[in-house]
Amino acid sequence: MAAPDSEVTPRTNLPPGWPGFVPALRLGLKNGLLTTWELAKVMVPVYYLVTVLKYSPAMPLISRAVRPAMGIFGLPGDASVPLVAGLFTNFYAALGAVKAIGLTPREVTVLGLMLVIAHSLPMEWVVLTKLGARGGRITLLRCVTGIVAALLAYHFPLGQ
Amino acid sequence: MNWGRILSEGTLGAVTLMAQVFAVVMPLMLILALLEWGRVFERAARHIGGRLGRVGLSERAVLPLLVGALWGVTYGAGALIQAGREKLLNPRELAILGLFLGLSHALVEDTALFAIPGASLWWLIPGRLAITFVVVALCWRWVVAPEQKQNAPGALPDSQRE
Repeated sequence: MAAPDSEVTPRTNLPPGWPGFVPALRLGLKNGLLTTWELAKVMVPVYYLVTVLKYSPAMPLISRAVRPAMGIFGLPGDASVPLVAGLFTNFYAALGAVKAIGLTPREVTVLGLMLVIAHSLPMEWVVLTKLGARGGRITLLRCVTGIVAALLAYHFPLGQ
Repeated sequence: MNWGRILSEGTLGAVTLMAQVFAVVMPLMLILALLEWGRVFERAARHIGGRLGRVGLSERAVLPLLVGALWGVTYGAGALIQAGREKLLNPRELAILGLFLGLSHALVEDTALFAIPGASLWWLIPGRLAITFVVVALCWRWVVAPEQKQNAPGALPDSQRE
């Protein structure tokens, strides 16, 4: 799954048919525990850091400074914290930050859509380039698409 | 700053969040292991490969596309990097894959995790896919296809020139 240094392997040599059933369950359990652990290593520290930031005197200043830009998407200034966390580090840090800041479901939808499209930009730029794709151009495209998608989700709420 | 309150709120929140994450991740990983056991992605790729109309992706491009779109680039990295390293994909397939996966990957896991704080699944799955298809089609029509026409047949894209 997510964590770049996890030992989760995509292709396994599970025996086909019933002999593979129990090994498959065991693999699933192992990957579930391992992935939760890898995510915890990111999300728990972020949760504490963001909670500290939330009650610090810096938060109102940051919040006020970015409010005009965030307001375009119907987001409060505080939402810039998970946004920056997600863009530059990863999605899981963003999730920790969203929970710590506390946003409404509608705000989470707009921010979440922006972030599922554009997250971990530096790292995934490298992955794309390694794959042989045009990493820089795709990264730019992700930013633009994320902004457009967030505007759409803000102005046309679905399912909420 | 009230440190006692920060500590108690942080601890309670972090523990709750990780319990929720565990409740999402564990079933996903079990399902994924069972899918692997049944070779579901391989079978699906064989079934779909070459049939995607004018786009005509081959089986070896469809497998990393499926794994990456549903379960994520990092998880599908094995299939992706193998495809990249062995130069299994032609430039056209590589361009489509890069564009599509750049915008839509890990549709299952990322969405499931962001559903915890209450995001709308309508926007996170069908909405995201629709936006991806439109953007990929536009890029294809106006950027990638004209560029590839310029390159001599069989020429590598710029990123692969050493």
